[in-house]
Amino acid sequence: MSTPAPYELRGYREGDEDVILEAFNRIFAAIDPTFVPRDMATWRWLFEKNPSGRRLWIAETPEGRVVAQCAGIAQRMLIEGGPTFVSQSIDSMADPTFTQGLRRPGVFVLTCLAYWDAYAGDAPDRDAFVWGWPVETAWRIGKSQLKYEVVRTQARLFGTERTLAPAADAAIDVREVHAFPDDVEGLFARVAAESRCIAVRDVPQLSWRFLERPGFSYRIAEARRSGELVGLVVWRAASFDGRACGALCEWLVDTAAPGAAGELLAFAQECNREAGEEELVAVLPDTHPWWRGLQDQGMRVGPTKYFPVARYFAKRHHPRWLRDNWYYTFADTDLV
Amino acid sequence: MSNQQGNTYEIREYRPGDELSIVETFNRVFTGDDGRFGSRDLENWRWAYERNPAGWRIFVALHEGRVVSQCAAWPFRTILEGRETIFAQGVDSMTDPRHRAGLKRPGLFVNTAMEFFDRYGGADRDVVHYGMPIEQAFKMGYTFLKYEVVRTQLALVLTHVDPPDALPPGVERIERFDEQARWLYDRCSGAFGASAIRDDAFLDWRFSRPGARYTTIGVRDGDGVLRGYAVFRRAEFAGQELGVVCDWLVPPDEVEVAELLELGLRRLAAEEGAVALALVVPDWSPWFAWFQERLWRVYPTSYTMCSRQFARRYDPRWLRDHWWYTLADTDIV
Repeated sequence: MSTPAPYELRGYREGDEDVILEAFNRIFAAIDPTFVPRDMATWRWLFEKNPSGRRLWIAETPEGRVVAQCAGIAQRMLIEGGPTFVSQSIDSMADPTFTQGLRRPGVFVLTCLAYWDAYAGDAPDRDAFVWGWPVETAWRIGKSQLKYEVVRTQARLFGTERTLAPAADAAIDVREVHAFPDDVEGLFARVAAESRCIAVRDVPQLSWRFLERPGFSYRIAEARRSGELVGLVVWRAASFDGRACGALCEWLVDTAAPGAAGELLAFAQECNREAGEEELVAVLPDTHPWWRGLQDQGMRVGPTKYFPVARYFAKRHHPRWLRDNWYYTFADTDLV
Repeated sequence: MSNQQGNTYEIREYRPGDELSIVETFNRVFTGDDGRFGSRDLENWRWAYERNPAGWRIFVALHEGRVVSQCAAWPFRTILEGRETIFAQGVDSMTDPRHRAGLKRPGLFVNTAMEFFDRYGGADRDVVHYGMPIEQAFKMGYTFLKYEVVRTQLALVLTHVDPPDALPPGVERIERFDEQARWLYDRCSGAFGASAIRDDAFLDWRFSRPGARYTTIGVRDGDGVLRGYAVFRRAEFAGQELGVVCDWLVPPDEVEVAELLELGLRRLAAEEGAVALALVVPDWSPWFAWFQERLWRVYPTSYTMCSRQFARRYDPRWLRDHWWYTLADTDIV
């Protein structure tokens, strides 16, 4: 007869945040010497204020100690035109001082399985897939025990003063803005029509991601043609894959308005100049038309250490399908 | 080994004489299936397995004396962190459809593959097996055979070939390689953590594939010593008929050699009516960046490079960052 597990698996309850944040800061500080402790404002931004919802499951001992967490950034999605959800796994952790002998699977895996039971599945109100950018340790567990698979090895698009050659288009008006315009939803609808799998970009989501994030500031520009919004970029001085850069954090541009790309790229290039950043960097799927479109404007391609992985819950959304159909940018990630 | 229907299978290493049945089964399994594979004749089989200077890797499953499943690979002599070993490319995985239900899950092919890997894989034998499997084979390999993704494969593509009127002065056609190929490889391979040895035995074999026509161009110094080469073939790659650069070997600091060869490739593309050129090199290579400066653009392909390692150090991440390969290391062209 097996003994019961010395912990409870359960979803977040109001009031848990102090003990969760304490565990997060303690566990990550022990494994990463460069780790900067997270503050409560950032925790609340991630898990309380995201307009797409919250994904958080923990393992808690009877003494009230959090010994594992499976958490995610929820995303409202359009997949093949229908609304649903996905979540990006972040902050995966298990307390290394919590030992259970030879008990298998371990507490972290069981926490993830409970998270999936709670949130994931092949239904519009559940996460169609769970994805992430794993570090090596997480990837080893993810592939062997949680059926995560590689979607692609991620290359980066990058440009410098020497390579960038954004094409000017006099019919496009670009201006820097400090809030997302209401008609971003029309632009999103046109961009989404070209993609079979894309996270919703609306005013609440974009504002949460870029305007409300504690401790970070982003520059936003919109492109209009005869008054119609045809493109939007978000830029920030950042560090990606171990190097400083200006990051194209969001790239939401109608492919039917190619002139907007050059004008918005010129805006980002100017942001780079002002910040003294050498490289402008974007992350996009290599299967999307803008992958080539940005190369035509002087962006080059280079490797990164990153590889998005996914655990899918509907057979049709397997990693190969995601590779061909899923549009994402830095905005979808917690990388910048 | 028998299944519930009473079918008996013998799984064993290849023996001379099996090849007729292997080729017959290959043609039944692949021909006309998805157009990716042409029919195979015995001459092609002998080239692939008997003439490869590094040997062969073949396990078969037989039913009533006929080959009904195969797991096979082309071994390549490889320099891995300074020592010679073998990397082997998995090819021609197959099971006769009438026997796909043979043996219980995980099935006849996986059982054949398990014996294949037991026989050939090991830190002191084939250190890495790799390949670019079709989706179905990848799923099976991932589930049962420890295949992992090295990278989703990108290709450099030049869509506006803009050829010179003739091969540039200093670029010559090479009919056969000699000992200078190894000299050149030795000058290049110091920058690679792992790479298949390019010598005359390998290159002359690799580019004498029956039914395929390759053109090799090279650049020599004033003493006639080979400074770099490229191998061209017009072929289908990633679903398109292209001028394919099957192999490329130039020391990274000899850009003037590369410039001549790249112009030579444009010329060959024009001569053979190819509207675009494609090349695969690792994304960490200086050549990956250099070709982009020459207006080659990076495109996705349908291919995924996968591996199974038999020494823990050489996991997919290590291979992604250190292993030099081109399409010459695959059976695609």
